[in-house]
Amino acid sequence: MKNRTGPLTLAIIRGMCHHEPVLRLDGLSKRFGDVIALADCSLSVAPGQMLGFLGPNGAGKTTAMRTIFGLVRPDRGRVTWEDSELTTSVRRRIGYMPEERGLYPKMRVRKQLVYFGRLHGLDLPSAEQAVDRWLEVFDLTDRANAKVVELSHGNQQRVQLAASLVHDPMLLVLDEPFAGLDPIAVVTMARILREQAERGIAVLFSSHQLDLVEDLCDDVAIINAGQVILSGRVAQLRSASPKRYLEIATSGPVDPSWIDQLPGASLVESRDDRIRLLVDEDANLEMMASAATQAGEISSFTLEPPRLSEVFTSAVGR
Amino acid sequence: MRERTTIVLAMGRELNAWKKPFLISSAVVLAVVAIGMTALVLSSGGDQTVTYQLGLVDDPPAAVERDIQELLHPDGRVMTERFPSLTEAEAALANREVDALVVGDDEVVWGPSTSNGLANAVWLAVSNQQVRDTAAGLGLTAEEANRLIHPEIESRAVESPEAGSVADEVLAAISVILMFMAILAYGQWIGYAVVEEKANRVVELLLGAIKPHHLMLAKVLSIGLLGLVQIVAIGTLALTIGLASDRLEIPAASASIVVWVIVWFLLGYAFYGSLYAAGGSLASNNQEAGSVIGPMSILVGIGYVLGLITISGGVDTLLIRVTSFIPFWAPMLMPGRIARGWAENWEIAVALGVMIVAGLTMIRLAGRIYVGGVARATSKVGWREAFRTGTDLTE
Repeated sequence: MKNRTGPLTLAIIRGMCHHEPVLRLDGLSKRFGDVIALADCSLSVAPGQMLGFLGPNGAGKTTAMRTIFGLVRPDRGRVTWEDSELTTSVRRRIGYMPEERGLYPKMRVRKQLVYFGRLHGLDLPSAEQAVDRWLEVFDLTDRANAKVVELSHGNQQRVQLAASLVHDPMLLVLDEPFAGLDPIAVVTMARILREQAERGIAVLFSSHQLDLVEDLCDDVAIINAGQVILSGRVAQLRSASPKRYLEIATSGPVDPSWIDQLPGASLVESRDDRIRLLVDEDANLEMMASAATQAGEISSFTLEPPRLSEVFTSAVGR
Repeated sequence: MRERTTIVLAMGRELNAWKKPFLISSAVVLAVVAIGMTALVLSSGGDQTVTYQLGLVDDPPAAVERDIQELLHPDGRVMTERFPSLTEAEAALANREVDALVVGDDEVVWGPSTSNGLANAVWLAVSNQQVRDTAAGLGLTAEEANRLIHPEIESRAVESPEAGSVADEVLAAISVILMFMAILAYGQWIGYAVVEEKANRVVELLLGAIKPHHLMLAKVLSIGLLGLVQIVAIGTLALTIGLASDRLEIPAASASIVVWVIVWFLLGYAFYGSLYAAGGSLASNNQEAGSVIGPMSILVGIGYVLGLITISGGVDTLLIRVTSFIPFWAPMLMPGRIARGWAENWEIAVALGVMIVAGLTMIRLAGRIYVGGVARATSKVGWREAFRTGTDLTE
């Protein structure tokens, strides 16, 4: 079980990155009574790909993720790994962080992580070695013998992520991994996920922190009402939108009232030194630049496609 | 091979998690059994052996003293004291220092402390010696003399079919109580262990690495192992105390009753343990667990009450006979009926067969319900819905 992903394998995996999806959710449908949780939901993840799975509350993200582990049996559709049905032995090579954290509260941190490592196929020495390494990475070495219930929320979250990583998985499925973390922990978690993806691990994670997803992910899938309505490279999704935004930064506070007179532009957001406008395709940018200059000293003037959060809002119609 | 390893790992975790409650409950139960058995031994009439002082004058034959010991056993025994003269011996008899005297081979002397039992034994022992001497004088062999003393008389007693020995009753009562406690306690442990994993959501992590059937099996096996160890320990302790004391008359069948209790515990536990696991999988938290597990405990309780009525009533009624074949109650009733000697061999065989089939069916049904229920974390799941959404053990 040691070195299951050796250097050669990693090199091959890196070469495969973003080419051949390994995990596919194919046409999944699921009803819970009158509630339609999934409606022909499809998505795929490739080795080395970090896929942000976005959607409003109740859109079906968690249900879709739970189908990967057999926790939900879809009424229709299937979940495959390399085009074959997912078996328990493949699931053992997946790391999972459920939305509602799942750990034994009274079990000690190290013992618990070793147990999960062993359940996922590691022998005892490999599990202990891996656990000690992850405890160090998460700065939890001094809490190794504490019971999980004795840890702070943030540290419990770290232990939870360590539990999903300890067996060196081929795929990480993380349901809201950043929820409830302080900014420093968010940075650490983001770094670790990025490192995993760089190693060739496929990473699928859901989040409501869209700016973070935009920074972290190359690819996203947006689900609404149980169906993936938009998916692809973040940059492509943004540029594919017909909308354009003008972001004007000034060196001091600016009164945005001058915008009311501008044709083809509407104010989206205004802060002390920053204004964001939604502009029409045929808007006169020179005129806008001139108007802005009269209003105050401009430090930057940028025409850009919508942010991911704007793409998301537009896609889900909210 | 890998599947077996995960089951063993899950069992190990379960054993570790229940170690403390198991040790505490075992210590309490064993202490109660030890105290109870000791009280039973002390209150039983067995060891009320009376010791008599017998004075010997003029060297009575050794056979006389041996006969007296045999005749008094097991209620009494004699300590002997030899006197150089009859005068001294009679003085000791008058002062109650000895309870009777045997002088030579043909004279006995009673005193103020001579009881009827001792007088009869001494009289008979000296008479026997006289018979032996006379027989020898007539040229009879020692064996022929013994036949004169102990003529072959066939004797037997007719007992009421409803009356068993006190020890039988005690054994039957212990088996009913033990079975009730073990099935209830260990069954509930399983139920709450399942609920705990579900409420913590840790089960979602586990099911990525271990099949749900195997997770349930690991729980049932590990907690059942603890129950078995406890029952064997209780049985061994109770028998040891009983056997170590010569006051309590332990029936020869006791060891076989202990074996029957273990057999019925295993069968009852497999049945109820699976049921409790299935029930636990339907609840999403401990509050809900009570409403699912409670009714099962009532089922076990009905068997307990029926069992106690059986034992204390001392009558093998039709109701008890019939219910002792029903799997929900057979584990509580059959060991008691066996202990009382009421169950015919064919009844035991049929009840065992029914229980084994019921146990296997329950494991399969419960496995399916467990799979359907354990992954549904959000709210309480109905039995029917869990059964519908679950999968068979073979899948």
